[in-house]
Amino acid sequence: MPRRFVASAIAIAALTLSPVMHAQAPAGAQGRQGRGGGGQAGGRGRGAPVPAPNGQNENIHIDGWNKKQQSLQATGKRPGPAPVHDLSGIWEPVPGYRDGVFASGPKDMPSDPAHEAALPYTPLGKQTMLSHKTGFGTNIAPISEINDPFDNCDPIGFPRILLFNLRAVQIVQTSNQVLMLYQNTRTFRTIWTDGREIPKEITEPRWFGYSVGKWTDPTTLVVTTAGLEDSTWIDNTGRPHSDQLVVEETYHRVDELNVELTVKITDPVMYTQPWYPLKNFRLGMNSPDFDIREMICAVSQQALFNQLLKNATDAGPEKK
Amino acid sequence: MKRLSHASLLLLILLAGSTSLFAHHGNASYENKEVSIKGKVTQWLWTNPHTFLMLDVTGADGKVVHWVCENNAPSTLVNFGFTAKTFKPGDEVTVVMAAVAKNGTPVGRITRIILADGYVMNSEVR
Repeated sequence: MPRRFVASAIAIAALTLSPVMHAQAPAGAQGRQGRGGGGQAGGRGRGAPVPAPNGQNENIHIDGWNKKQQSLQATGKRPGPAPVHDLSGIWEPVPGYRDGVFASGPKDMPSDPAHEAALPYTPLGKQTMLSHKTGFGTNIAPISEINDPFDNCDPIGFPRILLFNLRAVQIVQTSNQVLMLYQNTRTFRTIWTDGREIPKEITEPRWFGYSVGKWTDPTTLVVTTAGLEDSTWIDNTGRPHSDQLVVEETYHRVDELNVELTVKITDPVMYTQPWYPLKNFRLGMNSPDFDIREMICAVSQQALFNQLLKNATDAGPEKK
Repeated sequence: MKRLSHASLLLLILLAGSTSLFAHHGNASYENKEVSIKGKVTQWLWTNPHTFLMLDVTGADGKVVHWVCENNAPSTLVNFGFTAKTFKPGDEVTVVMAAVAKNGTPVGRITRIILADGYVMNSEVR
């Protein structure tokens, strides 16, 4: 009996973990790419369909100009040594370009009962967390009750720009700045590397704060950010922060084609000790001709989205 | 020990069930249930954070039900061959949803779309 239970449980878990299995097409159905696009990525036209495994479309990865792309390492290029004091390039999570979506919380601190219990909340931190009604994680709520500020297109803010939908990011360096240009919400950050310190007194909290960067060795940039607007959430699952939040990002250029990102959260108002949402999260270099596509939170589109889905939670017809 | 392993498995199942392919709103208003509908496209909204395919479905009694079918974000769907011009009003499609509104309103989440010629357009591969 226990064995049968275990077998059933494993089967259910396998089915649940593999949405793909629910998505199998009927026999004879065929997948295709590039329907309607006609771009370089859509190699197959209607006249030459090729059956896809399990009836699925092939998961191609294309950039904003409809060009098929993959990380340079995935193309077979062997990485050279890490250049000195240089993060410039167009980067994306690897091995999967969607590995930074983190809908249910960042990779090293997902929002599940075990990790929530481990998060060192202060009483105010816990209370604030519980007041956040989210689309994902332990505070998941019906759509009409969600109070995520990003659902109204408030700026995603920092550090959520790193911890939710971290897609492509272009890093540009000048003599005194490191600029981060993000796909998500098409926003950017300025990190000053001219030796300045974060202002002692913050007279204007900012959505993306005040950032300074220091090279701690030839291939490691440590960025400190403070002065953050406290109405944003740390991640997609409602982790709170105060205006005392200090975020430390460590970018370690492992080699020519790879960077590892570690993020440390310190906020004595909300947490009794620092914690790490990401540890050595890998970003891979893309081709220099990779065009970062738009991913914009448009207020009118978001309002339409909210309205359409509100019907899913409003009192509807009697369920049959 | 056996109890522990059963508990772990159950936890695994619950955790797996709580994940979603979608990145904004979660699953709380939906129930996981595969529902297939066939109808005519009235609108294809290529919008953030998610796209929508609107569909008129005529029942056996001749009554038309207007479905709102949520699909993934444009930035994900482009990798599966979707574009802003994939559908136009009047296209006949079969939409398979992996989850539908708990309250019975005709709202659901697309897992795949079968075109009139049999092509299958999936929204996600995991």
